[in-house]
Amino acid sequence: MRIFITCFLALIISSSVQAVTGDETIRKMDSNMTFDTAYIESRMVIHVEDQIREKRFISYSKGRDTGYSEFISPARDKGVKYLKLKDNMWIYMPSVEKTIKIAGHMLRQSMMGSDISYEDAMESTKLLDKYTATLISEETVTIPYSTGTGTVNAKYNCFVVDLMSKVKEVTYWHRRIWVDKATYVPVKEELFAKSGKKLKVQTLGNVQKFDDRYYPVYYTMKDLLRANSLTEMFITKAEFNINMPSDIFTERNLTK
Amino acid sequence: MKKTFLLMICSCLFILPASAELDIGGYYKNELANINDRYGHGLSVDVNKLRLKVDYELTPTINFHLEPEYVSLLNQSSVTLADVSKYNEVVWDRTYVKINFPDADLTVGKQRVAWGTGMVWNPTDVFNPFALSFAVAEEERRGVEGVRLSVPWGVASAVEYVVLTDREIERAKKGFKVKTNVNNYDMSASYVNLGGDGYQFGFDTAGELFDQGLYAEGAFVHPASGNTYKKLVLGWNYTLENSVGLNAEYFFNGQGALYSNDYDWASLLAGEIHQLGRNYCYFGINKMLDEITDVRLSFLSNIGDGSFIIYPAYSRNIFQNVDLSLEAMFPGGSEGTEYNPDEGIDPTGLIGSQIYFIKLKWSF
Repeated sequence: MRIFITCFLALIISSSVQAVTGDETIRKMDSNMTFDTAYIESRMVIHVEDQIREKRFISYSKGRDTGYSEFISPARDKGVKYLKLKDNMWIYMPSVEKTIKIAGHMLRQSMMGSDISYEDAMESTKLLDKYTATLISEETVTIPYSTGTGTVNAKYNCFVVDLMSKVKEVTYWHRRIWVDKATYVPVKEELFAKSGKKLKVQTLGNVQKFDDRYYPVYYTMKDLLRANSLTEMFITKAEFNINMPSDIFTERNLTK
Repeated sequence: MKKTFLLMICSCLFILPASAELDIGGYYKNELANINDRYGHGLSVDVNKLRLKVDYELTPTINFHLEPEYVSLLNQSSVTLADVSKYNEVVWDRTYVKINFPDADLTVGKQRVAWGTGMVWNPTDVFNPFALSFAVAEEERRGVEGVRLSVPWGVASAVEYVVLTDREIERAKKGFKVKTNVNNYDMSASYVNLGGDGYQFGFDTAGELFDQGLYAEGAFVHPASGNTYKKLVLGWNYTLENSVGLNAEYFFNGQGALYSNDYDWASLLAGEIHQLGRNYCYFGINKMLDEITDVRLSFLSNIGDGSFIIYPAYSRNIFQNVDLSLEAMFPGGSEGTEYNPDEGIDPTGLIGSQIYFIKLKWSF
């Protein structure tokens, strides 16, 4: 699965050209979300009221719509694997040693008990294919991020872009994205239902430079329909544009 | 052969080369069940199960897998449980070696052969047939002794050959399955020799249409003795915008009887068949209340005789690796039906019992 690379996390790094329209801003952000290949190790921390659950997984991705992920902890989830190939997605359940095809509607369900749905994690189409973008303002926002040992308040000068759906098959009818002018990292996004109800809020932070890219290694998602919950994600290792064995993205690899 | 194979695997585990990787996990599960039989008698049963999962990677392409389990039953030794074959002794449920060749995967030993797309019923799953899979964890499916060779091609296609080794080759089940993905639909066709003159043709598919998840699975069965019959499963699932999951399944069981007077109870009680009737349906609804809490309600019915099972379940991940679930099974229907048999069929009164479960599982 192209986890968090292609979706919310990944983004841009062109710092020299200033976008002046919503389309340009999103296009810059969107095009830079796509890597030839990526390998990412992540730690997901799920907060539910006063309880915490931690999960670790690895992900490989290739292009915009090919990905593979595998949970390596905790014990109850270890060995669960996902494979996404264009419009197909499968999950491998080690407890039953069975591969199950996941239908599109199931992507609305929570991924491994987090605030993140499969759909959030695996969004693979370009935003401008589904939404009409409008630059509505420019704002300076302060967004905290965790380093794992402490919290840092980061200040960003952002373009604020509204995205309104132009197709029916979307879960989020309306999205509002804060895109950092300096790095084109989307540092905050609010997701709305057709009724106008705000469904989720996500933030990104701890932007670091990987070769010629800026990339956030911290991410949060809050599902507002759930009380007192928050999911944090820490990217602990990231490698981009690396060589990968071709058989990673096969159903066979799920059962290995 | 079984003991020799087990000895071979265990020997390998104790002769660890420096490059080998040993991974040990598993779970401990406690199931406390309170049973109210059809005569109104109460009975409490406490099942404790420790199951280890040992993976020993001899080389990157050779992996040994063991799943021994130990089950103890407290309070009532006269009760038999469907998923437990032996108590108070170690059972080597899965013991196999898997070798990944460049163009094929070979698995030899006691293993799970998971065929079919159905959630509740799997007509093509002749190697590990299972009943009430919506109520009992699928991981409890018994392994079978066999050899399996999977030859993949492309990204989602393969041919799989399976031969069971639990009896002489003439009487053993053996077959193959070809699977692929066409227009975003998983599809497979299979043929199994059931031993002797018996055979089965099967198919299954899974995909979606207009955002609805659809799947089907069928089999044409020609048993070694008796009449041929067909089995068919049609399934549907969908997730609402509020993330409530819905699932429905219809099962046509050509092996079963249309009328309750014709039910083959003897074969059911002997474990030779898993359903008595001809037509069944299943409805399930589930909702994740929060990140660690899930509720589920299942309803299964024998359409022919009107008997049914209602199965509510509440589960919560109470600690990082500890899951607690509260479940209940409420069978119903008029007397003499599949889920409410009369005294002549089941003098123990246990079939058709109301059961309340408290299940605690610690994974490690």
